[in-house]
Amino acid sequence: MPPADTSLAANAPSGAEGARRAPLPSPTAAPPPTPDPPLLLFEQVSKWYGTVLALNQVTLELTGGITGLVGANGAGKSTLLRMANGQLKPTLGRVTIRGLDAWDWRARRRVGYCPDLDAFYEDLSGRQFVWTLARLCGYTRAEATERTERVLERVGMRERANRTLRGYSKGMRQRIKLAQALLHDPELLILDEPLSGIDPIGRQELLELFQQLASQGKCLLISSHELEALEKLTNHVAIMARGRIAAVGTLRQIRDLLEDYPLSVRIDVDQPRELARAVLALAEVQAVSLASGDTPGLVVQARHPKRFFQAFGRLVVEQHVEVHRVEPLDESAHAILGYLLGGSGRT
Amino acid sequence: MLPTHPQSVSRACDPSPVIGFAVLMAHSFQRHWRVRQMGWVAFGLLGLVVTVVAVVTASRAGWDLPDRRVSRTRITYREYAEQLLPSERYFVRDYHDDISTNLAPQAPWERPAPLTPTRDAIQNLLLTIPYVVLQSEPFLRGWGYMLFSKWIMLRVYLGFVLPLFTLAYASAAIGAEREARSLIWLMTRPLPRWAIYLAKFLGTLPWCLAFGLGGFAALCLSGGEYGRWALAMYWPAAVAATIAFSAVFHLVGAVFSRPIVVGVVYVFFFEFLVALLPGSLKLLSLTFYARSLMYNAAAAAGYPVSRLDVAEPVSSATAWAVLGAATVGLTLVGMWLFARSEYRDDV
Amino acid sequence: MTNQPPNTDTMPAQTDTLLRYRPWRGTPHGPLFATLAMARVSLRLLLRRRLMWGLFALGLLVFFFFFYAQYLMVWIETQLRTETVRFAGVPVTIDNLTRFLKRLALDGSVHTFGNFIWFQGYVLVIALALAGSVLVGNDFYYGSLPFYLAKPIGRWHYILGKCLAIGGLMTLLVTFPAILLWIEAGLLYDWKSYYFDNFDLLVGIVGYSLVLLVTLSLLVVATAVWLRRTVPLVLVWMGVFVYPQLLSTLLVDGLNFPDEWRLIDLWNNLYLCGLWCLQADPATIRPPGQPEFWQAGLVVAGVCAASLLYLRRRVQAVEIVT
Repeated sequence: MPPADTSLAANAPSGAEGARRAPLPSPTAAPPPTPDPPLLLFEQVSKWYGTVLALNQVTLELTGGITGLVGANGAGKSTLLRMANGQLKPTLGRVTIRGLDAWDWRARRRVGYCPDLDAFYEDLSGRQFVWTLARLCGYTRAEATERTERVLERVGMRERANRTLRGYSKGMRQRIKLAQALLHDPELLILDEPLSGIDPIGRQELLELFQQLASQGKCLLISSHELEALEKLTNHVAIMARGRIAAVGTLRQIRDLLEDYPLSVRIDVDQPRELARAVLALAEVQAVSLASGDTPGLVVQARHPKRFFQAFGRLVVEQHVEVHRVEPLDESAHAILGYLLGGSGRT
Repeated sequence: MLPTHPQSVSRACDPSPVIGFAVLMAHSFQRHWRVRQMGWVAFGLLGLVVTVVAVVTASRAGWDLPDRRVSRTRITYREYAEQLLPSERYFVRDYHDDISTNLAPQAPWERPAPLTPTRDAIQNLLLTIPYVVLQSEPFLRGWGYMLFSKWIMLRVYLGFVLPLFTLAYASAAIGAEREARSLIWLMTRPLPRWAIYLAKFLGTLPWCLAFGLGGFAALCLSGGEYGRWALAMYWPAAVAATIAFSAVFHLVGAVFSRPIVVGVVYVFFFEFLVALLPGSLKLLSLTFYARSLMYNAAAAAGYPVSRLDVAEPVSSATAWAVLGAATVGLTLVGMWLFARSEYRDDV
Repeated sequence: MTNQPPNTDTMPAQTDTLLRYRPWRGTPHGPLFATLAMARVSLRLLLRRRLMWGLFALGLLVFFFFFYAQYLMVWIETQLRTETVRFAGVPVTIDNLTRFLKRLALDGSVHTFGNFIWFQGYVLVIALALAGSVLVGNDFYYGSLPFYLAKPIGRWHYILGKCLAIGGLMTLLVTFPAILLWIEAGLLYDWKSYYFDNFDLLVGIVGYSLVLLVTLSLLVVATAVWLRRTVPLVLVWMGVFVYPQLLSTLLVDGLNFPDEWRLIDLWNNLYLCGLWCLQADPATIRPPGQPEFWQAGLVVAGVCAASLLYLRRRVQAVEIVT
């Protein structure tokens, strides 16, 4: 189960839940400060590559926290990420970083980008590569050295950074990419497939790092196909399909919006047939089937999950049903993605 | 377990785009040093060219006329001129009608005519001219120097060495980054795009000058005395042409994904053909202006410039203005284009 | 290296249970078939590039020049046989005009095709540099060579496939247009006498093209295997074709060195081999002062041998993919 929102959001505001609500000003107090523009704002952005529509009226706002960007191949994730860090210009609409056009070079001071490509200056060592990029950011030698060592330490590459990049494994190259994204302490980190090629232990380390960064007030936008890892990291996702943002919010919120797809819940009981008769009488229940497997149970498909669980709870109490397990089967990001994208999840 | 991140780095040293610009210049210079294969190939090719020039210079005839073989014979011009003297023409000649002897067969107008004194006298006078001409030091020097200038300066240097080596380096400034898909690392730095273009140009320019001017100097120094004259006389044209070609090919590198091929087409079709055409079309060729500069320099020194085969050269002032304007104009155009272009080579 | 096709009779038909497809029960073709497929795909890869279309356009310009000039030649002779034309008010007899055009050898003779292939060579050389970089250099540089070598083909099959692709490119740029010029010449003159009397020209064109194909494809592949990246490849390529031509002109025409110095110009050697295939009279070759046909052939054979030896060495290398 993903961590509760509160553990991530203690110091950081949640993703696309809009601006914080400001308290009512008293008549004698100074006028309230103008709220900062959102860290990342896509306003009705569309992008054509010739006749191919890569992004279609995308509106997205990020103010903090960790947001996962998921979608099938060709959904437009990379295009969106590249627009966010000023590599592509929108055909229509606007992309801003704290109110500044993302194409503007000053916006890149606030953005750290970890691309998914695997091309480096292969003749340099990891340390030299990161140091060179630090210098290209405009830091002095001393500052660049300090920052290089710091970020290498953070990504766990400090002891291995003297080998040439040509000899690095996929995971090491990934860490170096992450290191260079952290050099200038950006407010917004855009990470395209950051967990690709990382071993399970390293993946856990990086997930902890991402959580640390979020807790320090940074906003992370992470594109990944590894939904299980993403679920461990954040409950807040933006789902893309066919160039559109299909849904934004927590997984639970998105799931609730999927009215066409009733929630499937597995309920393990000793007498499933008797419970099935009682459950079928509930208005929210669409279908009931007997569960397969070693333990007897039911799979209930219900609309309006909140009302169903309330009604089911009353039913269990009234009829003294001994329930061994209640588990929603399709609240995971994988299942939600499947519903949103249709069938096998392909666009 | 990754170490806990210490407090955020102090902002006492904000990145400076000026430092970034300077570092990018140095980085651009160093990249060519690190990618040595191209350097060795260029060096080897230049060495081959210089070796041939040195061998010709060191040969018995060198660049001069007297000891050069008459076309498709075994005798030299000096020997041929001596054979035309009356003292040689009146001797019975024991020769074969082929070229394997050191005697040239006598043409009908070379045969003595002792029975017609007037004709014989005129014949003697006219046939003595080659011998007299070959005694003229100014004529011989001019002839030799113009031969060297025409073949080595105008054809080998301006037609091959300069355009090819400036193309190799200038187009690789951005072209090599695009081919290696490493341009993303520069484009995500907080630097204006036009500054990235300019810094890459300025960082690669020393290499272009090294091979352009260095090649020029090497060719001249291997050309003996004529080469040293050429070095002193033509170096301004070489500098102007090198910088102008660098600007052209830098722009080609930013615009085309395979700039070296486009550059070769430009050099060996456009520059080569157009520069030789009569009329106004050659005014579009940069080589034509460099040739005009060399032509005017030689003419000002009193050499017989008709041997250089430069049709309707422009004045030096015009040539300087055009080469300078081309350099500045093309660089500005490149900066403007680069600032507006999207590069998706890393996708 | 032998590649036996798998025995499908003993292999379980997995697809029957999964997708209900009837499994393919044929016999897989050998690696030479794969070579053809590789050549086809490589050629398609090249022809998709806009830069290649630009080079084709240049080649087409050269072809059209020869095409229409041949037509113009015949038109002038037949339409204005006894007339006089005026250029800037100066009357010029047709004989003088056609004499000028005859000097360009635009009359369906040996030198028409020799000159056409010579001039087309300027485009071909650049196209081959691009082809070498795209087809072979990229495989090494971007690491796609293992995809080929993981299949049941040998390394020589890989090289053969690439050579065939380059040969296909040369055929499109040189052979087909030259044959079209031959066909046009026959249609412009009396086709019965032209096609039968000059059939050896067609054979010569094919022979010339074969010489180019074998030599240049091996050279391109060898150079691309050595250098891999586009810029050094093009530098060396220009050093092999452009500089020696410049040098041979300097040495022989400018400095009156012996004619054998033209042998350093590979394109000239190929030209001489081609003219030998076309059975040209050596005395009619321009510029005058050329080495013997056998000398040029020897140089070309040497280049082919050197390329093959280098490729053999690279094929035997263990770490070919690094």
